[in-house]
Amino acid sequence: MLDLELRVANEVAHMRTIRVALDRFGHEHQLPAEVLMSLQVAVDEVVSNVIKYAWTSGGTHEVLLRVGLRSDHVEVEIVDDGVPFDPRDPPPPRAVGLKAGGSPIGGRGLRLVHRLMDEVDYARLGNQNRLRLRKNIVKSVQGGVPS
Amino acid sequence: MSESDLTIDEMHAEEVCVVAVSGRIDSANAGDVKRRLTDLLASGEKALLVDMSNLLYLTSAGFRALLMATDEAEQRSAWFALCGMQATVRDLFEMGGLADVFTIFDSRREAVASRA
Repeated sequence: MLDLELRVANEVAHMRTIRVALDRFGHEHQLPAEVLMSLQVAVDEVVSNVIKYAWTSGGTHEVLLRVGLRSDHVEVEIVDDGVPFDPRDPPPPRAVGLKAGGSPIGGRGLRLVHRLMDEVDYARLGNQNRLRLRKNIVKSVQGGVPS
Repeated sequence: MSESDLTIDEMHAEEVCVVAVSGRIDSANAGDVKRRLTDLLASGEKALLVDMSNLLYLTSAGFRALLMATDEAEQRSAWFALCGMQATVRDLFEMGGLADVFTIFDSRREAVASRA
């Protein structure tokens, strides 16, 4: 799996780089708009969480993003060497709103990832988090993804 | 999907300040949305309507910005609502369990009329 590989430093400013690269990938492979949007939303959530929370002591680190197109799905792998974090079981939603304390979004970002993706898989290999997302490409009645 | 980033335009419809967001809101630009909305509230706007007619999608960073603006509006006793969502955007609100958290109108006209 290697149609796109991108390495970015742990700065939020690089989220735009990822968005642009994913868009280009989507256009090159003529992904359905819904598939590309789902990938954009999920990757934005996962990578921004890595940038914000993976390295508690700060410093410059690298996030690796790999995207591959298969016959009926897109696979995304996100690798970092930050603190272990398994996103397979999102926390139960908390009350929304700043008055509820903590994150105003109440853990919903990760739930959104699970709703948008067909598979969310995780492994801790050595000192690395490896998160894998899978999004199926549902073919339309007219014959599916244009090629 | 267009290459467009995010544009934020504002205009007044009667006493409502309409903020039209076009493109996408994600973690790279959600801070701009939050800043623009909270600045408008701080400047004394008493009714803010975010028009999403030309919004392709928003990520949880976008939801967070809107929630913070909602909270700021509440603190300032201002009215804050959303309108014009495309089906895909509305689906994101529902998937995130956030459709009931905001005041949402189908159209700008309906939202402005509700203030009359």
